Amino acid sequence: MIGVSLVVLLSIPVLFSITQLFNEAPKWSFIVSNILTTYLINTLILVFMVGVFSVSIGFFAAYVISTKSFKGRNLLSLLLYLPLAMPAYVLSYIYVDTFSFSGRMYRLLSIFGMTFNYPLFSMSTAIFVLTLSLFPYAYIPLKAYLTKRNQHHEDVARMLRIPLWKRIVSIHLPLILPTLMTSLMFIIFETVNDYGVTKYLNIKTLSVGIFDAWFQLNDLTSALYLAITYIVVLLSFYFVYQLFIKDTKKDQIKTYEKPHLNSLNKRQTVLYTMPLWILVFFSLGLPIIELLFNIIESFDMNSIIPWLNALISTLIISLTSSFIIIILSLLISNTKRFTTSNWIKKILNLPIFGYAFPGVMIALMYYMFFIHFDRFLKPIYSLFGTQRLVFSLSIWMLMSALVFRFFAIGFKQISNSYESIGMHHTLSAYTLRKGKWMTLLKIDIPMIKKGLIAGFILSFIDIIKELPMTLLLRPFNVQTLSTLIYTYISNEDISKASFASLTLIMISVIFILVFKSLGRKKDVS
Amino acid sequence: MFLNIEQLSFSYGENKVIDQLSLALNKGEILAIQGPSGSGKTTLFKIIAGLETPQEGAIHIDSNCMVSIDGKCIVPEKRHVGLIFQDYALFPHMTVYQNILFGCYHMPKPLQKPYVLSLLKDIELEDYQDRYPHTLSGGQMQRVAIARALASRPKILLMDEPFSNLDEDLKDVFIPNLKALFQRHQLTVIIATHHQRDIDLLAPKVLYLENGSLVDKKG
Repeated sequence: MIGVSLVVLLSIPVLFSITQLFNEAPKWSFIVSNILTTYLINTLILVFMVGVFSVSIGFFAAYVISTKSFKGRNLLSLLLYLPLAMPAYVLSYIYVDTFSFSGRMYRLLSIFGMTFNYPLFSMSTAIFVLTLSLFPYAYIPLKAYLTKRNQHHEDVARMLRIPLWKRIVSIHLPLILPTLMTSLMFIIFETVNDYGVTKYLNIKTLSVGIFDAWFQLNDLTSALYLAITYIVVLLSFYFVYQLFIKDTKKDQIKTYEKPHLNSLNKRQTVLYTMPLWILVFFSLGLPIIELLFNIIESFDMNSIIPWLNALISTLIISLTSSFIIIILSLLISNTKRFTTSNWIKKILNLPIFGYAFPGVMIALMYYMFFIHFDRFLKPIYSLFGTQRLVFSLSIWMLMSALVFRFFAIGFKQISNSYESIGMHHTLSAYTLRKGKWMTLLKIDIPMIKKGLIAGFILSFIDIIKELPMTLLLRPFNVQTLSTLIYTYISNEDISKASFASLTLIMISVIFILVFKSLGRKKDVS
Repeated sequence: MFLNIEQLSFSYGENKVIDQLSLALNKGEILAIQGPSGSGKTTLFKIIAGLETPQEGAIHIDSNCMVSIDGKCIVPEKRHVGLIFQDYALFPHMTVYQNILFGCYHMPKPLQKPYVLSLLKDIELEDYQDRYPHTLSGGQMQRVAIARALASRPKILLMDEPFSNLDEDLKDVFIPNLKALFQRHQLTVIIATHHQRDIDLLAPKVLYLENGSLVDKKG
C-alpha cells in the first residue's frame, strides 16, 4: 500500500538513529551528573511559565473577541493572529537591543526618568518573548471554540437555577478543556523545540544541550541521550494530555445557536480591550517599529546580495517542502480513508509524532542516518567516479527533515477535509468506473482544495521560520532568511538582521492573511 | 392568573417580532402556540424565560413580577421557568443520568437519586442512563431534555417543537403519559409546534402567533 510505504520511508531515519543509540556505550552517569539536571530544570521552568502565560493570555483574548461587541473588534481579531508571523528569536534580539543601555526604548524611558538595570539575558526575557510569539496557538483554537459553542448550554443551566461557579466548573470547563489542552500541548512542543531564543539569551535548555553536545563537545552519543530524555519529557506531557482529551468524542453535538455578542459601553471597551491593544503593541507593533528604525538608520547596500540569496533559498526550501508535505499527506490520508484495520490506521498516523520531536533531535537523527546511508552507497558512488557524500548535507537531507517535522500540520488539515466530505462522492465515482487516480484528481482534490491550500500555507509559515534544523542541516554556504538572521545576530549586526527579519515577517503575514481569507469562504472544508 | 403577560413588545433592531402581545394562563393549563417559522414563538419563550429583555410590557408568574412596566427584569435563575430548546442542549460530557441529576441541584441530596430514577421511568429511558447524548436518537434526546427540565421542578414549562423527532407510534404512548405527568405536577405548559397531532394529544387550548400577537382562530 502506498500510504504505509510512505510512512515507513518517512520514519526510517528516526528508527535507524534509535538502533544506533544501543550500539554506543552508555554514558548516563556522566550526562546526568554534569548537564542533565540544569538543562531539564530550565526546560521545565520555561515550559511551565510560557504554557501558563500563553494559555491565559490566549484565553482572555479569545474570550473578549468571541463574546463582546465593540468598535475595532474585527481589526483586533485579525491583529491577534499576526504574531504567528513573528519568530521568537527575532523578538528576543529586538527586545534585548531596545531595552539595553544604548537601546531606543531605554533612551526613551530615561527621558521620563524611568531607568532600570534589569538583566535582559535571563529566563524572564525568554518567557516574555516566547509568550508573545506563542499565545496565538491558544488564541486561535480557543476563539474558534468560543465562537461556535452552544449558547443554549449556558441558558439551560441558568434556567435550572445553577449558580455561576457551578456552571463554570461543571459545564464550561469540561467542554473547553480538550481545546485548552490541545493549545497547551502545541505551546509546550514549540517551547521545548525552541533553540534561537534560549541560545541567544544563554539559557541552558535541552535543545541547547543537544546542540552543544553535538557541536561544541562533538559528542553525538550524549546529544542522542539528551534527546531521549527530551522525548521522555514530551511523552509525559502527551500522556497527561491524552487523559484530558479522552472524552472529546462526546463533544460532537451540532451547535444550534451561536452565542450572542454583548455590546460594551465606552468604559468597558477600554477595560477589556486595552490589555489586548497593549499585547498587539508588544508582540507586533513595537518589534516592527524597531525593525524599521534599524533599517532606516543603518541600512547597508552590501547586505542586499546575501539577503537576496537567502530569500531565494528560503522560498525554494519552504515551498518545495510544503509541497512534498501536501502530496504525502494527500496520499497517506487517502489510504487511511479506505483502511478498516485499526493497526494500519495507527501506523499511518505515526508520522504526526514528528511534530513532537524537537528540531535539533530530528536534525541529529537525519544527519546520522544520511551519513550512514552515504557510506552504504559509497561503492555505487565510486562507480560514477565521485567520493562525495551525495545526500549528507545536501538540500534533500534538510528538506526531508523539515517534511518529517511539519508533516502533522498538512496531514491534519487534509484528514479533516476528507472527514468533512465523507466517502459518498468518492464511492459514487468508483461505481461510475472511474479509476482510483482519476477519482483522486477529478473528485477528491477539487472537493478538499481549500484544505490542501490551508495545509500548504500553515506548513509554509512554520517552515519559513524554522531555525535549529535549518541551521544544522543546511548545505555548506546556503543561508535561509532564518539562518541569515541568526548569523547576523551572532555577529551583533542588528541592522542587517532587521532587514532579513522584516522580510521573513512580511512573507508570513501575507500567507496568514491568505489563510484567514480561506476561512471566510463558506465552503472551506 | 398564574401566568400573566401584558402588552409585551420586542424588536430585533427595526424588526418588530412581538407586538403588544397579551396572554393569561391558569395553573396547570396547557397551551399550544402555532405559527409559521420566524413568527416569534422562540423569542416569546426566551422573553418569558428571561433570556431576552422586552422593550415594553409586563410579565407576572405566580403573582411575582418578572418584568415590570418600568423595564425591571428578574434574571432567568429566579424565574422557575423551564425551557426545552429545539436542539435539546444536552450537556455532551454528561451521561443521561448526570444530565437529569444536574437539574436536581437545589433538591436535598437523598431525594435526588430516587427522583432522577422516577423521571427516567416516566420517559422510558431507564436502560439508557449511562449512555452519552451523542449515542442517543433524536427522540431519546428530546425525552432526556424534558426530564432534565422537569428535574428542577419549574412552575412553567416552555417547549419549543418538543416532539418533532418522536415517531408517530411513540407519540401515541409518550405524549398522553407526559400530559398525565404535567397534570400530576399541576404544571403550566406552553408548547410551540407545527404538528396538529401533538396538539390533539396534549393541548386543549391553541393560539396562533400572527404579526407578533396571539390570535384565537377558533374563537
